[in-house]
Amino acid sequence: MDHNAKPSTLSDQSTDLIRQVTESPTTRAGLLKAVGLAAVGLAGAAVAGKLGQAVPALAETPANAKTTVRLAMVIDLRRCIGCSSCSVACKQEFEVPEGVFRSWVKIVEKGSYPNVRKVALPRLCNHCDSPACVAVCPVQASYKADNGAVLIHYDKCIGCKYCMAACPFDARFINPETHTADKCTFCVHRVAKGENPACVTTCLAHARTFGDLNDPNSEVAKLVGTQPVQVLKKAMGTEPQVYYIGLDEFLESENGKGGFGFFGKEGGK
Amino acid sequence: MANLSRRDFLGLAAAAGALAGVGPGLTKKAFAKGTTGNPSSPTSTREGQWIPSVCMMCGGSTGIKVLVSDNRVVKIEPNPENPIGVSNISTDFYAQKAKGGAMCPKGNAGIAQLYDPDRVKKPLLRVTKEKGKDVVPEWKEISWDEALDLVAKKFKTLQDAGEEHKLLWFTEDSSFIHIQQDFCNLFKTPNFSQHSNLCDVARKASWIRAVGHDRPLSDPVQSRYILYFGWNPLSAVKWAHLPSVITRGVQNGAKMVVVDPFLSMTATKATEWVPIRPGTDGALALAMANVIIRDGLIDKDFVRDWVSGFDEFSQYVADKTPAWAEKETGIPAANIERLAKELGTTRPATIDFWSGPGQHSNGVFGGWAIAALAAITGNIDRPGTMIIPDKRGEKRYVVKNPKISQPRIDGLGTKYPLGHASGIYTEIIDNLRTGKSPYQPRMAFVMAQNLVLSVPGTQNVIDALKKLEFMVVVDNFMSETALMADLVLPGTLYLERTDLVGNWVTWSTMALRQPVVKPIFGQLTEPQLIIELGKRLGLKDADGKPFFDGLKYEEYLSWELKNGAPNLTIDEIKAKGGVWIDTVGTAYEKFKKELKAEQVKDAKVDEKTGLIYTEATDKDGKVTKTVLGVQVGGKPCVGFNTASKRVELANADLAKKTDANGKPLPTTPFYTKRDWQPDDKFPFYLVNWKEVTHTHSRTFNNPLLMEVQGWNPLYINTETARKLGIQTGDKVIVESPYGKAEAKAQVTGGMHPEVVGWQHGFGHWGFGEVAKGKGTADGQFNVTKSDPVSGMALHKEVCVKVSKA
Amino acid sequence: MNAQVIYNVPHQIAFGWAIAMYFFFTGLSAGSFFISVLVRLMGLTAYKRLGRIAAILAPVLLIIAPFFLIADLEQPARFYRVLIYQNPTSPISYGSYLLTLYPISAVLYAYFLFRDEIKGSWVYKLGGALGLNKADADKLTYFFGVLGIPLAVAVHGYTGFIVGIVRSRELWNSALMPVLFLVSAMVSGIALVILWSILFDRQHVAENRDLHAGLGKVLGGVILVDLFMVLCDVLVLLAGKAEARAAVQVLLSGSFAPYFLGVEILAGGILPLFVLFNRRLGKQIGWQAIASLLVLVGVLAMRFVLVLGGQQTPLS
Ligand SMILES: Nc1nc2c(c(=O)[nH]1)N[C@H]1C(S)=C(S)[C@@H](COP(=O)(O)OP(=O)(O)OC[C@H]3O[C@@H](n4cnc5c(=O)[nH]c(N)nc54)[C@H](O)[C@@H]3O)O[C@H]1N2
Ligand SMILES: Nc1nc2c(c(=O)[nH]1)N[C@H]1C(S)=C(S)[C@@H](COP(=O)(O)OP(=O)(O)OC[C@H]3O[C@@H](n4cnc5c(=O)[nH]c(N)nc54)[C@H](O)[C@@H]3O)O[C@H]1N2
Ligand code: SF4
Ligand code: SF4
Ligand code: SF4
Ligand code: SF4
Ligand code: SF4
Ligand SMILES: [Mo]
Repeated sequence: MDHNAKPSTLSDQSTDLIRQVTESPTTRAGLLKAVGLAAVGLAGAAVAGKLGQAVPALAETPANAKTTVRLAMVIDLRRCIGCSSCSVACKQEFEVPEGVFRSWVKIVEKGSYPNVRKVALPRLCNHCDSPACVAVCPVQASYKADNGAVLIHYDKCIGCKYCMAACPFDARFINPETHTADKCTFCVHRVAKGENPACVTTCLAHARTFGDLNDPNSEVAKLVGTQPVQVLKKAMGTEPQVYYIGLDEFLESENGKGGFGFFGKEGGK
Repeated sequence: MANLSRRDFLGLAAAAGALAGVGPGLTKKAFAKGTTGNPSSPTSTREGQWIPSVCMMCGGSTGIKVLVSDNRVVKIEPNPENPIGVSNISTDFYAQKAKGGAMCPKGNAGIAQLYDPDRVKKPLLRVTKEKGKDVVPEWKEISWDEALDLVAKKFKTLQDAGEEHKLLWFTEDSSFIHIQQDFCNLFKTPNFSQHSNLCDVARKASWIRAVGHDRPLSDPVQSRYILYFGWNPLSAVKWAHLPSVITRGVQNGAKMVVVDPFLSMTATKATEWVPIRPGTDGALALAMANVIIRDGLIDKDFVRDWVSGFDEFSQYVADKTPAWAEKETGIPAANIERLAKELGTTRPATIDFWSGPGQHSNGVFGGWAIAALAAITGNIDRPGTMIIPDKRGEKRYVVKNPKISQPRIDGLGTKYPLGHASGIYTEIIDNLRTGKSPYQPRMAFVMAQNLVLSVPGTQNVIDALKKLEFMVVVDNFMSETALMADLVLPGTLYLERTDLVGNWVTWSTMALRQPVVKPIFGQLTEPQLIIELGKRLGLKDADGKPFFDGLKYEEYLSWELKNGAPNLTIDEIKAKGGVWIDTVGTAYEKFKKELKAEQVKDAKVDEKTGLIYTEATDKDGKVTKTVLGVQVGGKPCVGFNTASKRVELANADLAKKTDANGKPLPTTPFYTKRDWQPDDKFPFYLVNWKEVTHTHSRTFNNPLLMEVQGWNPLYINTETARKLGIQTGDKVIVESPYGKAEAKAQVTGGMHPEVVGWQHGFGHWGFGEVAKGKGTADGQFNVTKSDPVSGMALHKEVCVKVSKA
Repeated sequence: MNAQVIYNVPHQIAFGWAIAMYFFFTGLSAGSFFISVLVRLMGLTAYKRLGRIAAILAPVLLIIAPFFLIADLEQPARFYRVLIYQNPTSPISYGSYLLTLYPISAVLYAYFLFRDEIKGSWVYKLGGALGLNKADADKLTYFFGVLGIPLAVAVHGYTGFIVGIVRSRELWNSALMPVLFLVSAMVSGIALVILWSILFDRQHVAENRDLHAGLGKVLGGVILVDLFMVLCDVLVLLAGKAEARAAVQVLLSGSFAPYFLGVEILAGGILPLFVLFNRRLGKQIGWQAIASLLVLVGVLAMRFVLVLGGQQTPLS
């Protein structure tokens, strides 16, 4: 048994996925950049040299692949046990510093004794089809990749935090180590190798499913097609691509009533 | 010492230096060690090798794969080639493994545990004389040689005085336990105690009573009805496959009912939560049996063929009506009726219980009542029920042990009639503290256990340990127990050593825990240090042969593996990916397996009981009977591993035994109130539990885990809190006759109104900077006591007063 | 139904104090500029002196303002990128051009306004080198004044857009924002000019007093408009969906109530109104100073309340 070969539930699609994520994501943007550059009259070679750069992990570029992939995640809340294993796996995958989260879990208690339940809501960036964060990014550091993932050029981000303010889901944060905006990347670096994201791989209750919505044989396409799925804050119109099964409307209306549980607040330091 | 090269020590010094430079931002360092935290360089993509191994952040032994890059562990992921983490049923394992395994947050946080800057790195000799909770001891670093020589010298004084039995030995049991047993046997102390007594020996005793096996495993995935009493496997995960098999069972259409005073995550995911008054599960089970028998909902064939003592049991439960149980449990009689009818009419059903009912003074017989529910409904060793696992694994290394003349000090097997070989911790602690045992122990060796926080009655434990002349603790951290030690030896973590693990699914499998990195501080692994110690003491077997001289632990393990079911050497199992899986798979109704013709050739069948036995007469004319199985339906079957070869609901022999209080044992499953009842002064039941983010008391310095769960508030029912004038976030005072401390309140609808409760494991004053001062320790409110039958430590039998601070 | 969050993690707040300060300074600048240009365009010669103060303050304040913006960047060294890359849907992106053009125009306006008085100075020489000293100063003052007005509107209006287009924040996501920002800019601009004149134009205190009183009445009027808009905003939010109500409750009864009700509305609005419209107090230099100081503090509070208070309700 080869232990360097990791479970590859996505392997059928992997070649496509590789092409999708490695394609230079901002052709149109590149043009705009050039125009902007000329207009301001700054043609420093150093700056120009940086311009064409994609996310380093996606940098080897077999050019001009066709858009066929639409990455999505389905989280089955009927199964999720609120264990935060996803959060910790994600932290470990990216060495996410203390105090910030690419993925986290909120738990709400509803009802009163003895008719009472806890509901867990695992969270991450929704990789919206109409992402509010990308719309406001002044320097095109945030972008929607052709495979659907919403990503950040870390080397371009000026850290203005406008994307954070604009995201209706609190999905973004400033990485205190790198001082740029950061968030869930849908683990495109793993997807490119035909693997599931770290959070999906570890998910303790197998509540998370990941894949290509455009592939009718994918587990996500089947789930989205056959199960009653919901997204968060539909009214915001960002068209999230993280779908939930069994999303309690109640978790959302909780929005604003706020308050943190003990653990988040008292934990860590 | 061969394995401690100079380079290792230099490396260690450099590592320590690097850590020292980190300053107060230690926790931060643990998050982003060795990197810039650059999100463009994810850990799983780093250059390196994936090594299959086995987790031990808790005892669950989930299969993992570890990526080692540049001599550092950078990522841990589930290994779906290992059934632990995928499924406990073989068919399900093969069907599911393509979907991958699973790992709990603790498993994911293993790296932060390994590289925790607060780990004990060198042997530490106590400088400060005084011992106690408020004493902050001073330590002196010594070399491994000095440390081992010192322990040998001290233990030698016991040998010289013929007082070997005055050495107490305590150990965790997930690994390297055989070699420690060997050490104690050859050293000739009878006082070897381990883990289980603090853990689940009540459950073990209950199931042994019923089915002759101490650890049947629940099969929810094939079940139609899942009924758990005081078991919280979605949080107290243990084996990472449990959440997925249970939630899958429910998704497949099973009804799931969880009996628990607290709305645990398991209760929340159940179809129905049944809040119960603590310590009354036995009453509920008996009343359900009453209804099932009354309404003829039993599995008649199974009861006829495979249950012994059904009539006595029926008689006993005849007046245990739902109305009676309502008074005991607080559960409405109508609900009990309904649950009983559901259970009686839905098959297969899986019925299990763990610490909730078990860690109470009436746990064993109450647990037997729960097992009886499974028996009368035929839900044993069939798909979707309680499976009796095939425990074939490694073979215990064979040593010729010398005789030990002295008795144990804890009354195991005498005072506690259904005690477990793991000992009786509370007796030992109490005897040590009060000096009331026939002899006073002088020294103790504590391996990977935090007695101070894990044994009920914190102050008593501290007072007891103070009495020791010399105590060695082997631990990764300066635990509260290590703080009481005279010598602390740095342990290895599971990522730094070799172990064999197996037997946690329903069929036979074994896995190898591999050292994925060398002990990072150049420590000796625990087995090595035992061997080193054994050598220094010149321990000999019964034939007078020095046992530890020249013993290599890998060879020891290889022998166990080769001579056991896997028939592999360590190298061979390594080559197979570190996992061996018996192709036979999960077998059901093993009790029906027929005896072979040649086995029963000379056997007789007892007319009345159906027992198949052979008789042998020795030269003095004494006849010994060997029971081979039982005749059922005209066939010679192996039956169950009980005296009657059937599931037992009565056993007349029990009447001959008395419990620790001198009371004769009941002969059937039985309910009596637990000893400690709430009163005017201490009106609330106090319970505790495990959450998925932590293991016992050992993970509270782990920044990744403390970040997700950094406090243990006291859960109080909404109505109860209103009467006490308490709101969420308020400081409250919790008080029992044994302890008084402050806590923070979490008001909740998910708690029985007569009960308050919290997560176990918080409230450290040792371990490290992250752990200290977070939350409230629960053991301080307990009494240092065990159930009088099996000796199970009473972790959950406490009453307290709660008031606003 | 009963509901409570029993577990969650905290999230960072995106915009901090520096953004509030940035809004405050652009507002001051825009407000001052309006006054200066209005004084000139409407030929209010009596107010000329105040107009001149305003003309200096406007570019100076606006040159300070972006430093707050840059200070708030996590990658301040990369700030120039906003000029290199564009995103038409991002106000910060197009705002960066306004932030470049408007101060240029404001500086030129001030230059021509003062050109004849600074003959011989190094500034004048520099202007000459740039070829600015040939053309007709009056005409150019007029030109850059008129050009500057839409720029000033845009510069401060765009900051309103920065928050206004954020649909996730109930307190921000309103078409009122750019307008409210402009009105409050006027408020703060006028107040600053009055205060400045009192503090630094000591020799003309006596003659200025009546001017202050007159300008104070204008200020009072704008404050009334401002308060009215805030009232509309609050009422609509109160009648809105749960999230909107929760957001506005932060200001009315939550952690920001003291700053909103106490500082912004009472101290920064109602009290100054009372002084400014009071026949006696409105004419006393001391009270004029106190009133305009209170107004400034009130507008500053408004920026903080809006920026920080607007991010108080958790989104997850
Ligand atoms: N995350 C995590 N998992 C673990 C462990 C760990 O430390 N952390 N430890 C492992 C070990 S060694 C063990 S033994 C298992 C234990 O696993 P469990 O037996 O599930 O252990 P607990 O969580 O202590 O207790 C279970 C439940 O019993 C309830 N309870 C308390 N009193 C009563 C009662 O009188 N009646 C009933 N019906 N319920 C009651 C508690 O509220 C709690 O929800 O977990 C294993 N798994
Ligand atoms: N109040 C209350 N008390 C309880 C329980 C409860 O539910 N409530 N649960 C009980 C149960 S079920 C159990 S099983 C016991 C468990 O009790 P313990 O066996 O004492 O478990 P821990 O508290 O985790 O302490 C283990 C110690 O070993 C150290 N350690 C861990 N791994 C290693 C290793 O690989 N090598 C070495 N050398 N050291 C290691 C840890 O740092 C820690 O100090 O607690 C019991 N105590
Ligand atoms: S790991 Fe899976 S089960 Fe656990 S909280 Fe995350 S999504 Fe839910
Ligand atoms: S969730 Fe937020 S950060 Fe993620 S794509 Fe949507 S708007 Fe952007
Ligand atoms: S913080 Fe970075 S990614 Fe976000 S909007 Fe600003 S420049 Fe874009
Ligand atoms: S997809 Fe990757 S980055 Fe996103 S939450 Fe999961 S593990 Fe984290
Ligand atoms: S349950 Fe978690 S901590 Fe325990 S062995 Fe499995 S992965 Fe490790
Ligand atoms: Mo345990």
